[in-house]
Amino acid sequence: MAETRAAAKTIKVSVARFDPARDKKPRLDSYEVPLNDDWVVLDALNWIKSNADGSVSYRWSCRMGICGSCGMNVNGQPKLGCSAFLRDYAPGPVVVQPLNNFPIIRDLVIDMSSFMEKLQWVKPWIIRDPTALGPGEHRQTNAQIDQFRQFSMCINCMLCYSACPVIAVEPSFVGPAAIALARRYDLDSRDHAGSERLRTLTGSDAIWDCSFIGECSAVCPKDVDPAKAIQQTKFETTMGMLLPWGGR
Amino acid sequence: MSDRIGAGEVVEVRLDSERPSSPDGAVATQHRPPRTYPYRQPFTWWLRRRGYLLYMIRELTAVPIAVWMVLFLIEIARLRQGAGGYQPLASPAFVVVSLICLVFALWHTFTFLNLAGLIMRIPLGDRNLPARTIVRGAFVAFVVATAVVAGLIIWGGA
Amino acid sequence: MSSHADEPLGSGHGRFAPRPGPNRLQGLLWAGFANAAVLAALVVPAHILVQGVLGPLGIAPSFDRRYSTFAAALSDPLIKIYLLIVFAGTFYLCAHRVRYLVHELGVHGKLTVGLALYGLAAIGTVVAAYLLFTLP
Repeated sequence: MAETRAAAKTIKVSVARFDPARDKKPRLDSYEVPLNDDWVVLDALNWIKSNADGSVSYRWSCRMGICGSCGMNVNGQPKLGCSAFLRDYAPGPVVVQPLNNFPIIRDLVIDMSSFMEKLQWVKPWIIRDPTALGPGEHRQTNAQIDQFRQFSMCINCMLCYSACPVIAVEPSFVGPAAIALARRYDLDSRDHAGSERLRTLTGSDAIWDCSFIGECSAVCPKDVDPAKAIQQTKFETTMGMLLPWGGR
Repeated sequence: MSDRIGAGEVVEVRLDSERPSSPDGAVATQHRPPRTYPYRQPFTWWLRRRGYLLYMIRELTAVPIAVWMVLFLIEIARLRQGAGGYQPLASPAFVVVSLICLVFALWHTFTFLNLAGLIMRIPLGDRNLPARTIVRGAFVAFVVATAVVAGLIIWGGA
Repeated sequence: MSSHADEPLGSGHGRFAPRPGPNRLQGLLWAGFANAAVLAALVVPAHILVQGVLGPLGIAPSFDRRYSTFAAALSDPLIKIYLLIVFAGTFYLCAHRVRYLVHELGVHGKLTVGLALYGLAAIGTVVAAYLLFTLP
């Protein structure tokens, strides 16, 4: 390929493409994308869509790592598209594929309905005992918030589900984010449904499927540490009962 | 073979949801439910990330430990040969196997005691006991246990 | 409890219908594993170091080097019980970890594999108990 000395640097970005109406299986389409120093994979995808192939499909929104929409596999590793800098992959190529462990709807768009169901299963909302209402404020100290703050940072990006090998062999495993969220409410001093959530967490397809591989926590962009949430739940629902501080 | 569906080729459509049809029975083509492509995890998934490989090694440490314990059991079985017939395992092969098992056993100790700090949540007033304090305590316990067990075995042999 | 607690699963296709617990068997299996792992982590290296390396190399007098010391130590019921626990724990630890490993490598039939592995561990423990408690 002939390039002038003044040509801008480019990097080869290969994107998984799958059109359910036309393709039997996904293929990789490659594009030469400008390699700007501050560009992320999401910028590359937007460039591709604007300049090379308007049909490429992917989810994104905030482009700053808070909405959780742009989860994808970059060179085989689960990443947020808005947080993976092209310069870290130079000279390339960068291979962009949809998240593992989910069925592919089209290109980089995966079917996340199973995740939505699993989230609802853990009842991720404050459940209070209605008879506990009384006059005055319901106070919560900073220390009480600190107990669950870490587990409340989840942005539902599903990178942890993509990184968990158990989900692949056990698709009904409720998964790291859901359990971390359940623990977030469990540890919240305002919540009164602890034993009910624990009953469902200690049933089938929940914490006992986890073998503490720990990669869910490794890929989490928000340091939620779902692996810790799961192991602590295992401990507190078994041996925690025997210990003076275990208290369930 | 092309990945594209050829003209006239029949491909099975997998429906993910029920879609209502219009009153005359036709289903509007732009609302055809998606045919998703399933994900299959390769057998070599554990080679894809360093974390997966470390997990494999961590879990496999249980095997050399069990193997060495079987060797220990063999020695106990040999006690039945009586005072004249008892032979402890003493070959160079036994020492080499023991060294390998020792490495794996120590790796199990190192990884599991490190993780112990993560597993336990010990409330201390308003806060929790920091994980690294728990881990340090666990390693102190390991040093003490090693000294006690080794000491007893050696004193018993003297 | 608030009415939200009774709401059925919302969006999606109703595929997800796990059975609520507590699954006491799995809880017990995990707790057993965690305790066995701690025990193995604390004492097994010392046994391997002295009995497997220092003893055979003559660096330290390990109790299993001679019949007199080994038989004397193993005649103590406390030692028998301690060793039985260590054997049971290490065999169980192996069975439990291999069960999960085998499942994650794609082998189906978690129940059959589990029964086979835990069964092997049980056999090993019974053999250990027999050998320890029926010494001449």
